[in-house]
Amino acid sequence: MGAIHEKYLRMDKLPHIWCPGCGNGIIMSSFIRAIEKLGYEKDEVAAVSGIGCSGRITGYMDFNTLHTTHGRALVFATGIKMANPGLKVFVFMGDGDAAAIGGNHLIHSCRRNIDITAIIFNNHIYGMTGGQFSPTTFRNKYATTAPYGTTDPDFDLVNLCIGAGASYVARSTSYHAKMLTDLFVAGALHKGFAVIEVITHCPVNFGRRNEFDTPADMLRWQKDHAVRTAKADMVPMEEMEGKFVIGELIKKEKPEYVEEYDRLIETVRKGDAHRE
Amino acid sequence: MNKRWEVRLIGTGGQGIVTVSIILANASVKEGNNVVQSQNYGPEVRGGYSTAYVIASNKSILYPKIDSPNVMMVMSDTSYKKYLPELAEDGMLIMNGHTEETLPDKVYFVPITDIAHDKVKRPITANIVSLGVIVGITGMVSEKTALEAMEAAVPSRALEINKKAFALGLEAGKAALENK
Amino acid sequence: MGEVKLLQGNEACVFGALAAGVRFFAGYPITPSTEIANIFARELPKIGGKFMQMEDEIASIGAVIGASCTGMKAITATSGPGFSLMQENIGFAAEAEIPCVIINVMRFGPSTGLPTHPSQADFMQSRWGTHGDHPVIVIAPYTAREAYRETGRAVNFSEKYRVPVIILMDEILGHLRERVEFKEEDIVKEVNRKGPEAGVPFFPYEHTDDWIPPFANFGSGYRCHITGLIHDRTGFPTNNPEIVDQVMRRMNGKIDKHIDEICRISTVDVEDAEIVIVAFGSVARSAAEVVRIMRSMGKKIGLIRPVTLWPFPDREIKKAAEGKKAIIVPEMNLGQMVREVIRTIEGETPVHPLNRIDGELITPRDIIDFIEEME
Repeated sequence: MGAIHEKYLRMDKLPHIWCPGCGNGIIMSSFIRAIEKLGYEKDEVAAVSGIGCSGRITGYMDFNTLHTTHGRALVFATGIKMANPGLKVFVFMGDGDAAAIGGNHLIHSCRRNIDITAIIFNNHIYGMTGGQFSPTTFRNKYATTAPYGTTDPDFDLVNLCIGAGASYVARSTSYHAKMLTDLFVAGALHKGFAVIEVITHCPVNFGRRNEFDTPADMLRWQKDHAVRTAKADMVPMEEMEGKFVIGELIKKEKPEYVEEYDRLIETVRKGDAHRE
Repeated sequence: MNKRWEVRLIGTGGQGIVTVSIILANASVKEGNNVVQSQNYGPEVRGGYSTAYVIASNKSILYPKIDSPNVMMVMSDTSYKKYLPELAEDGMLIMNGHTEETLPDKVYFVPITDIAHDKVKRPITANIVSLGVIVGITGMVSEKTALEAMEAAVPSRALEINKKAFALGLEAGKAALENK
Repeated sequence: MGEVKLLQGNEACVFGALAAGVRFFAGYPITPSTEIANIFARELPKIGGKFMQMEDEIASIGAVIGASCTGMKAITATSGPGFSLMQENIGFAAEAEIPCVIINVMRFGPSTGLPTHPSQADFMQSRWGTHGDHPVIVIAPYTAREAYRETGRAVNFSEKYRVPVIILMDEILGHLRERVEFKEEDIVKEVNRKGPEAGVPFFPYEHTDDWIPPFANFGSGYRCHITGLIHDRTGFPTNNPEIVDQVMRRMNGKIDKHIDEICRISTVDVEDAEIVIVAFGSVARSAAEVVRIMRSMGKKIGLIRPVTLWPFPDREIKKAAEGKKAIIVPEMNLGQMVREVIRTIEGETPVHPLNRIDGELITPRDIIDFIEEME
């Protein structure tokens, strides 16, 4: 543990509950490095999480932290940002939170474009409940609720968010830790709703059932299957089969929700608003 | 006011009878009465049944529904037969247009939609014509307070046309009362 | 004050909430509560407040709790189906002790039921809707004037006791407009949640003398952790049985500790009454009419009207019902409050349920017929 950990983590709450070899710790470290780079005061950061292994992250970080109900972190965060726009709001979700039970909130957050940075820990499995398949589990993978392999198709979260109108979408992996920090910084600086999907590894409940002998094998898989945005266009289509693109996938300007509402307040108070 | 007024308005959705009931309620409040107003409607936004009612009394109003209205106004005949039996014994029935059905003694036929169509030349103002008719026949609120409450309820761009509708309704209401 | 106007029940809630300092509303359209959202959307920006229409009721209550974490007073409004959807997050607010107010304008259920017809069948859901033992306050106004005042009281209770407070109305009260004359006693005074005290070590879930821990708003420099996991006084999760027991008893007991301020009943002619009606909400209006009619006929009838439904005003009702010949409990459901009345009176007086489940209000005639038949 370095000085940065002592600065941003609640050291008395460690050790964390995550399994040895889990990717969540890497994401947390990348995140606090991003906060250091951004230069945010701890008091002005609000971190909001859902339920599952990823949800526990808020307990370990020394910010204003809110550990909400399953799938609902985004809506709690939306209330926080709307009520106190001065806070820098970050949301941490698992693939269960973001793609299953809270999928509706994810697409509507993309549509609204409120200035929140959402980080999705996509480990393709329900880890805390013992390895059930999730909406991002690839087909023909094994899970406790798919003992013969999954028949469910999976979501591509990046395309889902882009389709829902998100103004900033990026993806990286727990292997590309430095890139993660850069994307968290870019997402935070983006005015509007930013989604960063982190492909991460769950050695105990995904890897063990799907022919990954060690956490390192899973990281190697990430390295071998991730193609950087800069290169992706040059790779022939057939070689992209089974691979995924990492980096910034969309970044565009769109009116930000809180600013738009503040503008409305101003108009109404001046008596200029057109009313039906 | 020494009387307890119970007024039921019956029509179809979109005819604006809820607005009429709110205007009547506001006018009666202005005259110092206790008032309860409410409405029932079907799931259709337009075209389904719609009823509204107003209770006005100088005593406090506890039970908030009406069981035997002493005024009933029927704008369209979709569902009034269901309500007709509840009309109080000496209750007044105001019918838009004419019908051959057997009706109570105190029935007043006023061509409300025709007035809006032919004289105001704005069919949409039929509800404000009906407001004038009710005030002209019942006198439950004064012309002045009814007019004030109406003016506060309609958009300013439609004020003049609604004043005309109200005046024509009032005139027709008074005429119906005299001809009885 | 002294102001006279025609006010709708739903509208009155909005103005009561604003008077109590509410500046945030998040909701989802649903009959028969929608007017509340419409009016908040119109009024909040005028005073710098925030209105949000969310994607569903789960999102609505979530946003309300989030806003409240920053110290902004927040409210939502819904009806049966939406109220059911909100239950998990209401439990979160109860457990994490986040102030918030939920207005439930009851409609006929279960399921889609009769959307434009009244009901009182959420009496039990309002108390026990979420899982686990939890504190909650439920208040049932019966006039537009009271809807104003009691919504103000609900906001203040939620802030003072760090608890979700539910305003339980029904379609009749929500939709009726009536003449309201505001008097001195209707003035809603703002109550704010207690914050950390300077110079005193701060624990966000401290077992204080009044059992209500101080609340440090997000962004105020305390960097608290708020979780729906059972937590100790520091706010962090624990499963130590001894601490869990203490925390659960404080969290649930804090309401009982302040029950005198929270519970409120209203009575009409109860003192010399032989038969007493116990009713709430719109049904209590019919019951009050019955008292007026039957008293004029020389019958000794009285009315007890719980204004606070939960915690159920046991003591007040027990006292008022003492020595009566019979108690009648009319409800627009198959008998929910009557169970509480029976429990409270403990067999001293016969208790008779009177139920109507056809989507219509129980009329004074219904109650008079019932009394006459009983006699």
